[in-house]
Amino acid sequence: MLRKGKIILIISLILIILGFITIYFTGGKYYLFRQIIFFLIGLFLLNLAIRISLKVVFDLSGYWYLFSIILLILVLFLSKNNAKRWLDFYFFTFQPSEIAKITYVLFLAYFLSNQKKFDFNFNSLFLPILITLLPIFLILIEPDLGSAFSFLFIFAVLLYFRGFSFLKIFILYSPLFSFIFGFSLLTWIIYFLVLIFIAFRKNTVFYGFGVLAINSFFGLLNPLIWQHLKEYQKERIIAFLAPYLDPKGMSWSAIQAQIAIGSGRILGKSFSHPPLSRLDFIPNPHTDFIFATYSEKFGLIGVIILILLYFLLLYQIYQYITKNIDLKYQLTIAGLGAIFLYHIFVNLGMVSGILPVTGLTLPFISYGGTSLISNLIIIGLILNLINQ
Amino acid sequence: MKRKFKNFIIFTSLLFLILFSRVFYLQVLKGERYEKLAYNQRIRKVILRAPRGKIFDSKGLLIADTKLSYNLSILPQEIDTTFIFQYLPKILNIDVNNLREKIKEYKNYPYPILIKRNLSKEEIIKLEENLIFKQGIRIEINPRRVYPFKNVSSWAIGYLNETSKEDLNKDTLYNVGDLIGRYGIEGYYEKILRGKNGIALIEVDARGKEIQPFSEAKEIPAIPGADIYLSLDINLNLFCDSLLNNYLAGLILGVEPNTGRIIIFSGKPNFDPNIFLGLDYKEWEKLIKDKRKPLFSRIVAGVYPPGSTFKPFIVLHALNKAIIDKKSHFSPCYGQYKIGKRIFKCWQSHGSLNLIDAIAYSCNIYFYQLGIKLGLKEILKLIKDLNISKKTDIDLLEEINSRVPNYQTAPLGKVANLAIGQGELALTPIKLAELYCGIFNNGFIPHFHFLDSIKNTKFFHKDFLDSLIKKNILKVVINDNQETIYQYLNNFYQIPFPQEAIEIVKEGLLAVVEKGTGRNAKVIGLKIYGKTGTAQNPFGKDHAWFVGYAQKENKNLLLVILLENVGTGGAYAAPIAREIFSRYFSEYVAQRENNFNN
Repeated sequence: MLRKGKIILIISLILIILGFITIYFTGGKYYLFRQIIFFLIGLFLLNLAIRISLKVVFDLSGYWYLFSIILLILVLFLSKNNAKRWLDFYFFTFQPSEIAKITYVLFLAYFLSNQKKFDFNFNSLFLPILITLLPIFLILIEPDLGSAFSFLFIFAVLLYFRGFSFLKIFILYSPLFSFIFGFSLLTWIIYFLVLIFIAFRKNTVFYGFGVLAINSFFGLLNPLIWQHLKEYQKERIIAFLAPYLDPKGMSWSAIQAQIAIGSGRILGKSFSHPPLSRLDFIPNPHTDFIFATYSEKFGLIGVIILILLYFLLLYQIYQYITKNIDLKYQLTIAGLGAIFLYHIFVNLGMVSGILPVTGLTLPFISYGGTSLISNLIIIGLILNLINQ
Repeated sequence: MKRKFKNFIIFTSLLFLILFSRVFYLQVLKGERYEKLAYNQRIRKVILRAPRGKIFDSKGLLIADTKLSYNLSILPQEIDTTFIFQYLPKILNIDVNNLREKIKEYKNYPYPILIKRNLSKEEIIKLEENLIFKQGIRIEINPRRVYPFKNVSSWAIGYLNETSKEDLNKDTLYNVGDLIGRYGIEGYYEKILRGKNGIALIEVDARGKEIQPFSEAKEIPAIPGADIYLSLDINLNLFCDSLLNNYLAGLILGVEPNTGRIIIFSGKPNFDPNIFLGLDYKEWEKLIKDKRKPLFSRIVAGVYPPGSTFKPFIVLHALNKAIIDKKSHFSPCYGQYKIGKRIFKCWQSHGSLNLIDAIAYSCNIYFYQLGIKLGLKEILKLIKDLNISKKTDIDLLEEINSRVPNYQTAPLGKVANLAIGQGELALTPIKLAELYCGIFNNGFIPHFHFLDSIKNTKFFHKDFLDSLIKKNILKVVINDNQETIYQYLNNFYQIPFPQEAIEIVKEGLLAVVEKGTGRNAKVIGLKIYGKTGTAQNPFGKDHAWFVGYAQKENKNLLLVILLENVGTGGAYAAPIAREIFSRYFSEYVAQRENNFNN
């Protein structure tokens, strides 16, 4: 029945099996068993996603989007955890933000492709930005910084494939960058010099000055707001937005994860050797930090295989964009692929210590029902799209 | 789209290349070192305990200091249990069961667990002798609290003891083995005095020996707590303690009515806060089980019938209501007085007295009649006007409410008794001091406090400081050395009595010391006001009260003295006031020969 995309399915299955093995090492039989159950449920939903009529998917995408927004609001009220990310059901927990990413992509792709004239101006961008900021805002309250930022990345990728140049996207995001670089005067000046160069390239003088003015404003906001806060207020905001950070300021789990990765060396550790994660040095060793155990067991060879598999998966997905298909489909594929790319990069970056600890899963590998099932649904949707 | 696809794949490749180089760095370049760290060595996370802030008295003397001590910690995952359970309790004289429990409770705690503080030299030598067993044990150098004045003012200073599991859950700033202020100023200002612990990572070899600091992560240094300056004069308190030496139980409270600063907070029996710091359970239990209750801060947590010390307030109210004036007389005192069928007694036969003399000689019969004339309703209103049921809100957590009558009607006998401060009325000494401050500070009652100022505050103290600033208790001052100092703001509230009434009462209180029951408090060269009292005690001898006040130039002091189970206030408590006043105002007082010189 599948004419195209068999490779995508095969790569996903290989990744899931690698995940099974690693989950067995870190969590034992119990978690492996549960993950297999999730996998079976996921396979069923994947099947549905392949077969579902795309007319239903896109014509109702506004409702899908609204539905996930409602879930994101519900989770704020119903979650009993400290971080309000999960809805608790009797035998598993469910993370609405994972589903929200998918429905967001569907709705935004549908919305962007339906606009006949799409340019870098207020009329074109106002609604898409609103559609993006709404889930970001709700997820920031949970709080889950990692997931919230994923929407910014997905939005950028969709804009890129909708026809925006890299520079235009950069200028659109520049107030945010300006705010972030405002932490220190030096970084901000360097950033601003680069921005001057970009803003006046290909643009009118009037337009260029506008960009610079807005950026100056957001750049100033940082010292005005942030640096005016008292030390303890800053500490509280950081603790709120990034609860995974060690409250004592030293990222113990990140250090342990790096040692675990390093100890795998080139060939990995023998399977009889109990992994470090068993020693309770690493929190969530079978979920967010599973890459630590994976690379300890399989070594650099294993990591190369994993990265190549991910690359191949993304390559296979994105190559269908070049095929002569509906713009709506192209954008959806780009957006769904972006979800994977974001998760892979942020998770591996976090575990290997180049990004802050945020709490995102590694697609197909990490233990977790919502994560695995939503990944399989994404694969199903992509297969559905490319087989039209 | 082809170009876009190509660019996007290049972008993706770049991201993956970054990840790959990072893993390559960790597994190939750092691999050997990390493998060693993972399997032969470990990284041990240890706490750098923060020194507590210091406490100074008003003259700058250290009341609570921080020094260093050797402590023993163990790492439950690494210990040799035979050694720990068989030899350690013997060497260190600690309880095996406690040790077992503690190790069980904190088995998965990520830091070494503190077992014994303040190791002696002998103990350290014994530990070193058993070096082969040393796996999993650590001798750490930690800050240690020292109270150089030992028992002096211990009810005010309070004590520390070990954080409980509850404390640890409630506040992440604490680690197992930290000390927390429980009582007194140590307890009330815990959030100011405490510091913030630091963390160090240390590489440890397979045998548990510490090799070097882990270089990939910076150590987080400990931050000391803020320093507190108190209004207490610790040397004066030492002197007061010596005055109480002859008594089993008693208390002396000294405050400045025009500021509310507590100068003297002395009491017996008291305790030595140093003994709480050694984790010596036997000493601890001894203190808790002591029948004399040395941990019981009688000044703020004990309630006593005010006795005759309450009479001036009855007068205030009667003057205010214009029921009597300065010259009012009642039926003369013949030593006893009949109300209904019961006979009420006075301690002497005073004859006919005017108001001033009735106060001076503390005539009960005068006050029985005044009380009955005033009526129960008015006395209850007085008690309400004086806010007796409210706490003084001094900066101590132990303060309790005074007891006030809870009835609306009563037989005349009860009313008469209430007028002389007996019956259902029972005040904490601190509350009585507050009421008298109202008289000597012209109707303005100060908010009592020990705290003068706070220095060397850190960012993590901010929350507590802000809450005090919000309540208008502290203000921020920058001094000449550009230090930020949090200073106490004196606060007052007014009691509803006219100035003339207060002046008449003051005249009476002056007469108490000049010619009345408080003659023993008299100091030549000083104008001393006072009131004696005897609190009836159904369990034994009466308690002796004396409240005294003196003022000279800008110095002023109100004393409340209570001696338990000795007899009358005039005979026992008033002489103590004399000694304290002559010392406190020594520059104005002609030196007498047998003055206390210690």
